[in-house]
Amino acid sequence: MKSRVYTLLFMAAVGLACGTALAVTLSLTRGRIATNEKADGLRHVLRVLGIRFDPAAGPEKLLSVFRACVEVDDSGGAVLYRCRKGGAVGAVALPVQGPGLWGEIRGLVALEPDMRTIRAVSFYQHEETPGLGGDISTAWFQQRFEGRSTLDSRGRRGIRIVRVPGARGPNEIDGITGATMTCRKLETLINEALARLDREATP
Amino acid sequence: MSDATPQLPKQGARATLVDGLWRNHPVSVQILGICSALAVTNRLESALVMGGALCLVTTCSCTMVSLLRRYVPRRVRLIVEVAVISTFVIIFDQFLKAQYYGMSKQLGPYVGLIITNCIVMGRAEAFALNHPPGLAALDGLANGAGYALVLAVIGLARELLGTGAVMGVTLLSADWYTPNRLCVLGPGAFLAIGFLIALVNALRRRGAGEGEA
Repeated sequence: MKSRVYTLLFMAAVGLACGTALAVTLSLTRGRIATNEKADGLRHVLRVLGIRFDPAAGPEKLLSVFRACVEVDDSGGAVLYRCRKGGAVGAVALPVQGPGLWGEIRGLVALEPDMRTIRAVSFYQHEETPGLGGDISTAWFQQRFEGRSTLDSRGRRGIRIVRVPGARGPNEIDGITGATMTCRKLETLINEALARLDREATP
Repeated sequence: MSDATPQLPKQGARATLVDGLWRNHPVSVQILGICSALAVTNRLESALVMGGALCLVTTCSCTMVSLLRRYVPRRVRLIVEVAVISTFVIIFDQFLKAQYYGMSKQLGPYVGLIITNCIVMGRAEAFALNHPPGLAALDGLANGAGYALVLAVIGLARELLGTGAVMGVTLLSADWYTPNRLCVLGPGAFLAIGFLIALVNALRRRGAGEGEA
């Protein structure tokens, strides 16, 4: 007769067996997965700095390309990625992150060597509404930033994401219809990163 | 009176295979596992990996459940099935993240969701608990393969008609073929599965009719 005690012992055994199997698996794969995730993040840096790399490259290859072509500058508070060779030499990629509408937005803003004009952007991690705010990770939206200035007509630092089709000033960028809040949050976090850059650059 | 699970009369290996692959097909007959069949079939490569994953998980889970069948108390059998299935799915997911990170990102949450896939649990409960390990493994393999086959067909159709290319090879050149965007979106998937089920039913009905005549 299968008593309650037996059921309890059986479930404990099943739990132990499954737990052990998973613990072993995770300890075996942890290192490799961490490398993969790190290398995946590097893709975005390489892309905004215009460094050419094979899209199918494995994590080791990406790491070696990164080490050869990018100089990591963490002398200030924020980490900056400066292109040494293989792409837009002298361009600097500035990590940006902050709260979006639904979750954190993470990205990179690459500035030309003049530290004023935007070379490219990448907003690669977010939890915005798919099809609306979520379009900040699309190429067609990110392309709007290329060549725009981070200074307005009076020389003040900051970009503005405006309602479509309203971009007129040198630092204005057309937003996404139906994603006003996401665009506002994005504008804020980019400007905060730029302000921090200015603060740390000033001796 | 023992409350061990009842053992059904044996059925042949061939019958088991045919059932899973055609007569009692998980997607087109049992109508199981539709969600993932819709979600990951926008590209053939993803469809193949997903199909392979489910096939592997179903085979392993059914084998394990069958091995335990005489020892599992009836009251907790569903919990045990879920535990076994989850363990296999997570192991596979970790393996995918470590070896094929790009594909893992493409499939997103759907590998993890195999745990909730009705096919896996359905076969474990309906078959593996009442049959010896050899047949259970075969049944898991057959149902998994049947599912993988359907995914491959739908994936092929959707990618071909939706983009003109399949796995990097352009078959319908952009010169004369305008890709049908609907195919790579949700509604296209629904339509594809609907047509497939209708086709399978028509073929099965005709086969049954001829047999009776």
